[in-house]
Amino acid sequence: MEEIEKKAFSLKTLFTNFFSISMFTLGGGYSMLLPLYEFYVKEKKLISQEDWDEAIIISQSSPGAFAVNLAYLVGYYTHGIWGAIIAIIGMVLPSFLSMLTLGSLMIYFFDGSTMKTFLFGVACGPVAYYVDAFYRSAVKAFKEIKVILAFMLFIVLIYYFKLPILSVISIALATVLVQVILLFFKTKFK
Amino acid sequence: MIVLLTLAKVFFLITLLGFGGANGVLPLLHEQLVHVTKFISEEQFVGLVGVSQLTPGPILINSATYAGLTVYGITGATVTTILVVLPSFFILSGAMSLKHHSEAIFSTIREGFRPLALALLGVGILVLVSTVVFPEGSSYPSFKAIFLITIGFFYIWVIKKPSLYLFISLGCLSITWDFFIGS
Repeated sequence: MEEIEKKAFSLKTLFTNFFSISMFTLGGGYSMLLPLYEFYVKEKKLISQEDWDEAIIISQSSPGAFAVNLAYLVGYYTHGIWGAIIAIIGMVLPSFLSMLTLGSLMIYFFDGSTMKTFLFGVACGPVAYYVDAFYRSAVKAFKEIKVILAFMLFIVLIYYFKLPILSVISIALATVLVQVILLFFKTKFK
Repeated sequence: MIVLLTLAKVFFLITLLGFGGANGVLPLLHEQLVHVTKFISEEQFVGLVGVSQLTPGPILINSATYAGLTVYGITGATVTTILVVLPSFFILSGAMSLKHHSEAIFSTIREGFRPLALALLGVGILVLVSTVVFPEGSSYPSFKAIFLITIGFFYIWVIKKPSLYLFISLGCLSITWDFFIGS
């Protein structure tokens, strides 16, 4: 029974599904979580709850766009590597095409002061949204003194010592990689 | 051609080291595009932030496509979009090949990067506020920006998530403010 359902869910449906979700969702990757969860875990049962939880952890901790990482994992769990490629194409294409049309119009009209004023107003929206997101994750994360100290260290490195952000990220990456390698050896040579 | 290669390098680095999605990448994008390579001006960066909220799809992809389009036309847009996707594709392919102990490793990575992600979000807020509220060449803060951000706060406080209506009405309010009060 499960096999038949998996076959009926072809690569083409995967593509159209991701295309429509990406086309009609505004606000980036996190607003695509709910429709994807409802469809793949609740309705079609193509991905188990455990796999879905793991997919969220992996796509949050990998670099790059959250939505693209999630699309890769959902495609990979349902159809293997080809599913991953098709899902990513379906996720990127609407964004790319709409940005090509709208962006060319914007650049063509960008000299007009009305367009500049409009975009100035639009850019004020994310400030409020980011402060809200910062507050919500800070309340959760600032329970440990370790996290607060590391946070202040990064802010001081970027603002007081004027280090380039790329090198600050590389420092953090190195420390995390050391932790991961230690963990790897600990589990392997037990 | 050199411009295209530099653009490709910038976006490859941003995706390879950009943890925390579009929110975390924003200060990196500002540093690399406005200060290091000087491809786009402060004013165009405000435009980039605005446009990438307005079109559907992942915000990081939108900003990459728009930046490529502004700097090098359709070729630039294609190159930046592909380069934003490719690194995460390869990293995840690698992660899937060591799947049996990937979960412990990935939760360690996520916990380890939490302070950095928060710091990047904070720096992103400061970058946006300093470009929007304190525009170049003027000594006093822009009251229009403070007014619009306050409206955004109330909207997020009540509705809990951003929507297209918020962004479009903020844009229209900005035009109205300029029309009646002056910029």
